[in-house]
Amino acid sequence: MKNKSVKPKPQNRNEKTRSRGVSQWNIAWRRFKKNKAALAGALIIGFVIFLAAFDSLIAPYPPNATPGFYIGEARVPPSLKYLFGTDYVGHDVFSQVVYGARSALYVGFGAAAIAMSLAILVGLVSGYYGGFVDNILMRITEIFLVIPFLLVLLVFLKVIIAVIPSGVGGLSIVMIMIGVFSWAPNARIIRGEVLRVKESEFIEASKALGASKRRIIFRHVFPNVLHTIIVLTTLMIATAILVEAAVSFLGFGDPAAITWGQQLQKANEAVKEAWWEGIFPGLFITLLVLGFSLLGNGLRDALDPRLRE
Amino acid sequence: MAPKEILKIENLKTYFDTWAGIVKAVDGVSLDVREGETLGLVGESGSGKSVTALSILGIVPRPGKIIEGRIIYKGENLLEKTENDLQKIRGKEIGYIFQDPATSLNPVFSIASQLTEVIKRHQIVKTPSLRATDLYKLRATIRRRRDAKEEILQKAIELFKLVEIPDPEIKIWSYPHQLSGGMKQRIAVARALSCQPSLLLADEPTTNLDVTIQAQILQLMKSLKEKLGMSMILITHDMGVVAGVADRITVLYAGRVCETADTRTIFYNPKHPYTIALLTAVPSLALRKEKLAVIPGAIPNLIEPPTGCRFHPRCEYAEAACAKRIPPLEEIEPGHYVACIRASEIDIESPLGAMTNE
Repeated sequence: MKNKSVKPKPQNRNEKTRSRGVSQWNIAWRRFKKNKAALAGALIIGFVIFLAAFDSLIAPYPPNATPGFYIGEARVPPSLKYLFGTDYVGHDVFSQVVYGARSALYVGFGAAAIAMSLAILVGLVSGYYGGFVDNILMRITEIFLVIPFLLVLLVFLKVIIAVIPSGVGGLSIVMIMIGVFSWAPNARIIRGEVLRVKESEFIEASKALGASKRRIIFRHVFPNVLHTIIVLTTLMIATAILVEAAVSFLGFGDPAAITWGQQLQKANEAVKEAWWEGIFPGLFITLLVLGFSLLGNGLRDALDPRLRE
Repeated sequence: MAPKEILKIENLKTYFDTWAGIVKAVDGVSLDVREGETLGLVGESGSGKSVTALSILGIVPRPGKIIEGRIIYKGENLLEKTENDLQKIRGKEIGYIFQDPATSLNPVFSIASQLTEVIKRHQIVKTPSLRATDLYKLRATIRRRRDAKEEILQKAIELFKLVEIPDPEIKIWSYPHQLSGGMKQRIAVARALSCQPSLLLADEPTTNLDVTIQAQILQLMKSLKEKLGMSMILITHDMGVVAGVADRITVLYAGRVCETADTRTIFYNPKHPYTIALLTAVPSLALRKEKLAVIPGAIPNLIEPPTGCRFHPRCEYAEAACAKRIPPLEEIEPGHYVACIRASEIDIESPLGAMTNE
């Protein structure tokens, strides 16, 4: 999959880009295009985003509808009428899977946004300033690193979802909790990258040219750790989706939300009789997480400046 | 009378407080640079050349700290200035060229944006700011901003022409990885000169370049210095480089000044045994020897440096007194300072001296 030789093809378009210089982004894009696995990952994600965007058009039944309930078609196997079969109350599994795509992406992107913002803030400040600030921030990070993540998450969710009235943004709470509890490892990695970059001579050079500290952090350090941040974000999204599924499966999520994890949980009691109830949501979780992982790996290969040509 | 001093360093001490002990990287360096001259700062690796230069700008990396001394630039002590004031001096008043052109440019930005950044930072061209209150003249402001941007870009292209890079309009949009080492060093020179500093600190600007490019860069720096009338401190360990460029030379050893004199004197009438040893170690085609001369031993541990004269353990002429007393920097003839208690006794010919007589 690694590119053997990157020669700019003598195309008109390439001529034009050459005169403006080839930035690292151009190089990364060229490398990314060659990586079939990463493209497949992007395609999967694109497909799920498509499902989420047009869910009400794609799904044959509205959310929470139980088309099979009154006509004795609960737990019927996949057929043309019910593409993925129906569950024990007669939900159309296919419709539920389609609606679940939005929840998965919502939790994935939301939790990753929260976790990465915290991680970037802590990582940049701690890595660049060092010393006392670094010490304090890293000890806090370590506290978050050593707590058993899933266990604490479950306890918090149980308490919070019990306190607020049911159905009020249960999924958002799951998302926020996942975000708040999973920034620590990313902060460490970003800090490490910052430590590497801040010793570079161009940082010293910009100091010698009179740049302020804030300017150095945001204009010189941040863009140079951006490739790491992008990769971590992608992988963070995958993790968040997986954690949400796990939490819902264990029965700690928001029961009112349609998520793949919730479907798995409901399918749990009838694995033998109705395999389709669990297989399809499970398949979609796997597919989406795989998609983000492939994309993340592809981005890492494409963006790592050390692997250049 | 000698021209005015632009920079005067008095008894500068920069120490690094590491867990292994205090490293006395610069321990009482005094030197001065006059207006329009090039001072060569020479010494082995680890003799404190770079730390001296970084101290001038106040950007000594942690855990380094300037313990005492005075750095007087244009009559003002830089060590008493605040960080904010220093930021205005760095790059604008004092330029700095780093050793490795490959790493001193930010890999993620085009050359254009890195050059214009410095010009913008120091407000050589003012960029009108956009404020919500003057909405009614928004279009005029936007136009003026665009003009300012264009002007800054033109300035950057001018700089490219100054450092003799071909096709400046195209090359300015390239990224550091697309350029050769010599080209990058030219750009580093351009960046250091972008605000027309009065003093340029060049920290081994040619060490990482191959020999033909070295000559080009040195020639360029020399001619630019003449053209812009700046002063320059050239840091190097290469006696050949300073011979061609410097007006005066200060020799450092283990964080102290050994000898300061004009270039001719250093080469043909050196008084400090370390200077003599350095000159002997220069590979030369004219003085073809069987084996390249070396200075025995290595630069001392700067946590516990040798007592007295720091060079005495490696010195051929050392005597008991050398280990006891720190030799003061004494003027033995006008403009020729030596820190050696036996300077007047040692009377040997420069290794190059024989050459001039022929």
